[in-house]
Amino acid sequence: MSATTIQALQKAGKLPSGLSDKQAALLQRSLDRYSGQVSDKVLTAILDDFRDKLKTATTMTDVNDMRGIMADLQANIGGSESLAKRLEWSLRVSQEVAAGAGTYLNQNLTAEAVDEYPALELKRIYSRDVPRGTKDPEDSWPARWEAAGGELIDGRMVALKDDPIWQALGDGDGGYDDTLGNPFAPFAFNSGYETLDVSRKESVSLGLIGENEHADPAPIDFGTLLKISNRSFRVPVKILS
Amino acid sequence: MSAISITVTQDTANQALFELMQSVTPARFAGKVGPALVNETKQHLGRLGKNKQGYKSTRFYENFSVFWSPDNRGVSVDIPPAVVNGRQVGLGLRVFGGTITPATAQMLAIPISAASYGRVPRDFPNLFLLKMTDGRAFLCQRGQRGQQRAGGRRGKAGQSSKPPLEWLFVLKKSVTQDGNRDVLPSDKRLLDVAANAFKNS
Repeated sequence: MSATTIQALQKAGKLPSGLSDKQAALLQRSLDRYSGQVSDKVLTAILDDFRDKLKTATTMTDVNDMRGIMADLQANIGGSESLAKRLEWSLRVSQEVAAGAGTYLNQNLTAEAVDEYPALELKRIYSRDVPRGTKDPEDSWPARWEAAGGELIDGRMVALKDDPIWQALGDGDGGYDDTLGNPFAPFAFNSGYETLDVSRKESVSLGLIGENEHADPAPIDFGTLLKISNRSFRVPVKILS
Repeated sequence: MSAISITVTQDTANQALFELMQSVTPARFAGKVGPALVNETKQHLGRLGKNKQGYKSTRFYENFSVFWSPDNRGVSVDIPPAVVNGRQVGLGLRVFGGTITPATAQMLAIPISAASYGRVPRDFPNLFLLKMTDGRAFLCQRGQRGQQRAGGRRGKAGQSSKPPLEWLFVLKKSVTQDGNRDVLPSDKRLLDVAANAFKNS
């Protein structure tokens, strides 16, 4: 990814302006390997699946089996409209992750801001028709939070910015396979949850940090984005939130 | 398209806040106030209701990121334009209103049904143009054969031999949209949030 791409993402409103050279370099190095690969992965997966099924179909002699394969292809791969929807979905996820990366940087923009707002809260910002956890309470975000090693404080999902819980959430610790691998929201596909800054005063009252204790920023490592791109996922994996 | 910028300056703060501001560096002030303003703006966008027509939400406001940054007057909150349906869209049009004209096409295609809401004509492969005698133009497609008509103007429901028309888009040379300041938190609300963030930190 070139500096122009970063500028384009800034122009598209997905990254904050005024990144430091170090932040821009980190972002550039990681997004270079990430950008566009979500779509590539989807395309590759779909095409591989298509090739496999065609290969199987050519060796078949039973017409009913062939019909079954064709029906399977139709259902799972579909026509151009289905492919377009999958790509559209994939691109949307890419954009959401890029926007999340921008917010992540913004939440750690200056030492003063981290000192004033040392923690984050995972909170629902956007509603969903079928929120995660509706069908299976173990799938809810509070359940995921606890499965990832987090503690609910007064029912809230709050932790310091440098707490490993954020990466654990993104990694799907606890056995969740719909997460995106990043230590920032969105942590999973189609999530309506975002992270909000929590002030020092509130962080102290919640027992997260001492009144005069030093607050560290998140350990920004955009190499984690590489893990996402290397994960072979199908889209859509789970259209819940 | 320009970004929206909400700026809190020391000129508009009350005296007590002004005195407090004198006791901190600009970077400290921005660090105290910026994240609070972003929190408020994000939550406000999240609370905006569904579309007026009751159609399935396109999650329009989720496309916008909210960032804070220190500036020479204090702190600013920026909501840069976002790419929606392949087009760069700014929130400013929703807030302040304005006239939209097509950038590349000859006409704007305005969705007029639940099926086309949040979509663009290229999402519908079998569209055709219908021009009315009064000059209006629509993009339509044929529905499924056997589908019942919604109304009875052109025959009894369910008795048509042709599939019904689906009216998806109306074509217009330009559209003037009213502004809606409520899309963003009010100035007073933002100032209250800024003052509280400063005083309570």
